[in-house]
Amino acid sequence: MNEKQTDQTRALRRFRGIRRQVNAFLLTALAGFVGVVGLVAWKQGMFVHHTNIYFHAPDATGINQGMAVRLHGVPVGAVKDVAFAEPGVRVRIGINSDHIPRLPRGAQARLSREGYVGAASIHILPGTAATDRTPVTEGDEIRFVAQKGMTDMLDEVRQQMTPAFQELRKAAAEMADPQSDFRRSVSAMRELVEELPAASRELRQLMRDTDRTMLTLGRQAETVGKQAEVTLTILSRLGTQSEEQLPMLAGKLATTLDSLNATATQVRETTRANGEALRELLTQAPELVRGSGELVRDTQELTAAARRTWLLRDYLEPSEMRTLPVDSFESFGKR
Amino acid sequence: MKFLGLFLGALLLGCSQPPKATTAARQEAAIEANRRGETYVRHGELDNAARSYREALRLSQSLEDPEGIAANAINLSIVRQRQGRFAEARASLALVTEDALLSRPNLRFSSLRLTEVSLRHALLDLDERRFSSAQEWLTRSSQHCGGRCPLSAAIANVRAQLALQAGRVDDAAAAARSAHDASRAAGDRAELANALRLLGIAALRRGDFVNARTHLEQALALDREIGAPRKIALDLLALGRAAALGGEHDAARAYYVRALAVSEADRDSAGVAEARALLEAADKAAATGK
Repeated sequence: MNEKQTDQTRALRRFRGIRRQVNAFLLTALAGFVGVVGLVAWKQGMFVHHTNIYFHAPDATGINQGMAVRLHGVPVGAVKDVAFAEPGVRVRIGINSDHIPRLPRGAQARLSREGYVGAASIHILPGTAATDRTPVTEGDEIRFVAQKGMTDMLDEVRQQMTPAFQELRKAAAEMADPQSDFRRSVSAMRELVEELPAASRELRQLMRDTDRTMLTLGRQAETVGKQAEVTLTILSRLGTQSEEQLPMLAGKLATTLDSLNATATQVRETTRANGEALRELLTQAPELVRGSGELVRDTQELTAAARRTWLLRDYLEPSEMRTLPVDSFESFGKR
Repeated sequence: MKFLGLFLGALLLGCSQPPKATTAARQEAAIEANRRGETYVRHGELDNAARSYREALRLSQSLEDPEGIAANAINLSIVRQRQGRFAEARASLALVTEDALLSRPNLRFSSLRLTEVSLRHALLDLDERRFSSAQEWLTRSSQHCGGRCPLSAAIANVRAQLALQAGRVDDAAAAARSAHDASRAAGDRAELANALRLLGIAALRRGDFVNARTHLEQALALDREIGAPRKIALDLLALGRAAALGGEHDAARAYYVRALAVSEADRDSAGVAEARALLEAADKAAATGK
């Protein structure tokens, strides 16, 4: 009996204050749990005021609830909701209200990835000076720039490159065809260039002949002059001899005239040959110019197509209309 | 590698089909013409710039793209004004006024574009010394702009210039101060420099050459940062006047010489003539003084 009482007393002593200890434990656990929940909520931005703005997208592929929204790469909010709308979907994004002054109404949303295989997020492009710069407010809508998929991009590359390749193929075929204008132009040009040395040789020969003729003519004229002088001085005395001299003089004069005639013919021939060569050159010139123009156009199309391909497009500036800055001093200096 | 290249080339050729004339392609052509125009303006080739902007405007009109129409009409008007062809500049702007919208209700221009167009009209009038008309367009521009818009500073600066023309120096200074605050808030350095220059000129008209020099030196520093030679020359000429007003004739002469060199290098004949005239006047004043 006595032993039983002793055990009971020991047991009562052992569990004395147990209720307080259990309560303290439970309270500590509850406080810890609330603390963890609060911390998670704080990290998730539950205590930050968000402004809801919207955009329409043709389809929601790649856009998920909770996806990060970035401005210049900095997270500024998250996708809150994706709802059906006509046409496509209407996406609600919550933006941290502290960042709202940096988000103008002219901003655009764009779905992009970190690299080609990285995590997707919504990027906000703040727009240019030409777009509406007033900050967005609750419920505003911004534009969505659709990101093209791999198939679309390949399709676009094919579409953009097709005309350029066709033109290139046409140009190559034309160059290969011996009857084409280009080949004929080049052949004519080559013939013309080949003929040039001969023409120039003929011209030099003509100059030499003319020179020789002129010398002969000068000498003969001198001779004639002398003979005429002699003839005149002895005319009175050599009346009978003049009959013998006259045929000889007439013969020399005929030779000179023949020589002059031959020279004139040669000049005419050379001029005609050169004229034909020049006419040929002038006939070919428009063809050559047209060929060069087509080549330049083809090159421009190729460059434009290359610039539009997805491999290069990301490295080029975004395509948008630009306005020259309005300067309040545009006319000041003139007054 | 060579065979792979050939294979890929053959694959691309095999995939080829006639292209479709899409709206996007036309839009891109318009943007390309717009960019070409901008490049020509940068190189001072105004005839080519006008041709490119006209082409971009035509393409935007064919697509009924209000943003493209407004942007290219404004650009074309700027180029025409620089060429001194004011009638054509006005004709270009007429495409984006409220009256034009009455005949084409399908087009909707943003209030910012309407502000910009009204402001450009005011600048054209200012250039042709039609001050009352400039004032009317400026009022319209302010109405479209509302309380504050990206063009608030430019509007206030034009208001200051009109006040200076009318001899209302205090009003000019007040408007320039408002432009100064607006441009500083918006981070618009070009209009901030314009506002400082106007504050300097207003101070110069009041005879306060110390304040004038402070403002003009700040404007000069900004214009040099931006790289605007015509405005650098204007700042130097005004600084020269301020120095002359303070009796520092050698300093004034040095400013005029610098302005002359800048204008000559910029091929700005009006600037060269003004700098030469001021330089001669300074030399005469120095000779008389001696």
